[in-house]
Amino acid sequence: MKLFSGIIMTLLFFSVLCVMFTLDHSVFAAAELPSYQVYDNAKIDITSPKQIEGVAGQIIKIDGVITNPTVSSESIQGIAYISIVDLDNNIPIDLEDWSAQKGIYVSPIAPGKSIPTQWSLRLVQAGSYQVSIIFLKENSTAIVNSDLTRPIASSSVFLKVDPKINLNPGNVLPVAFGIPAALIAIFGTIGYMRGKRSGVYR
Amino acid sequence: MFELFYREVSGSFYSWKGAVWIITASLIFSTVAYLLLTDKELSLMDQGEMLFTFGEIVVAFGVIMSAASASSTISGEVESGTFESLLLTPLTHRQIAIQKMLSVLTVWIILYLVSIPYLVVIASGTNFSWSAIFYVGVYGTLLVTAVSSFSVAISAKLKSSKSSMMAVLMIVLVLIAPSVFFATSLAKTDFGHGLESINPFSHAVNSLDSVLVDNEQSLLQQVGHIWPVLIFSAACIILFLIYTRRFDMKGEKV
Repeated sequence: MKLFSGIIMTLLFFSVLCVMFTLDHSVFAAAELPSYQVYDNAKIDITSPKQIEGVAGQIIKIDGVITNPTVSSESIQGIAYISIVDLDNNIPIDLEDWSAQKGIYVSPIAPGKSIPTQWSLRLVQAGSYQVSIIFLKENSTAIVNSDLTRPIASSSVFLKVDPKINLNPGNVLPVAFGIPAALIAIFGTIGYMRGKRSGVYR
Repeated sequence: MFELFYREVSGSFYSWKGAVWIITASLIFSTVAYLLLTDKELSLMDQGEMLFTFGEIVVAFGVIMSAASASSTISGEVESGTFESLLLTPLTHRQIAIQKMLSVLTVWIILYLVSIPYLVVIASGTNFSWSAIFYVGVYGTLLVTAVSSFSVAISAKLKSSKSSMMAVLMIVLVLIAPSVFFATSLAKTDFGHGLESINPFSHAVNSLDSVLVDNEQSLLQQVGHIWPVLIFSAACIILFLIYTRRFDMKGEKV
């Protein structure tokens, strides 16, 4: 009797499981490697060198490629933006001065295709930085499945910015000091000569 | 024919009136240029932006200088009691006003020539040198002509240096302030756009921005900005010609 009831209970348990599996796949969706689909659905790579050195004031380019690696899935689109972290102070950088175009809209990328992206960065301050590109997919099912809204980050580029030390850029010093001095000398001479003619200076 | 003009120009440099403007301008230009190129944060600006900032300062300084100088040209003579003797010369009233206006314009031209080496130094390594020199010259000359014209007219009408200088500086402030102090805020509103579309100084500043920052150096691309400044200058010259036809002394036509 006990064996019989045990078999019945086991059959009932599996029947319930089978019904649940048939009616609602979402019950098992969470167990289906949630991040696998996300990372497989879009890929972002930085094609610039992994170590970049520059001088404050210089403008550099950060190149990236956003790929839709899937074959049968739908095309992907969204916003890609650049992120810079100051490694010396452990703080994110306000990109206002660094880049005029922080984010770009990535138009739909068909399965198996990729598009190149590029950011111009003005190296504002000396220091060590870590640069990465973040891609946030735009998806109609994003509200239903929050995993699809998870941003995808590229690998990082390490940026070393050296200070700019130049006391006479473009030969500004001779002009900055020479012109006022020359003007004072010219007008002083004119005034002195006039004063000498009129008897003010003897 | 140009006796008065020569006398005005030489007088302004002998008496240090014009020389002080030029030397002050050169000291300001030197400070600004040196800071733009060497300051830790300012030097990070784009060279086009540096040139634009410098060009804006040259034009603004020229306008303020011409307004201050021209607003006392006629009233100064009236107040010092030398105007009657000036009227005894064979020159017509309009010729007197024109020659006084030209002397103010000459100080601007010297000021502009002084600014050229700075423009060249700031633009070194770029293709902006000639454009910066040309457009700063064009807008500066047009605006200085306009401002000195109406300043002489106001000076002739009010016959008080204090009143005319106040009136002229007020007008100049109204012209300059929107572009220099509130440019960012105004660009966000329709009212600001409307104000900028009728303000000749804003057109000059926006054109310099377009040439030096956005690299739109062709004259054709700047026609939309040049003609409002030209119309403003023409209107000021017409006003000048009307008000300087005959000087009114103590309520009677002279």
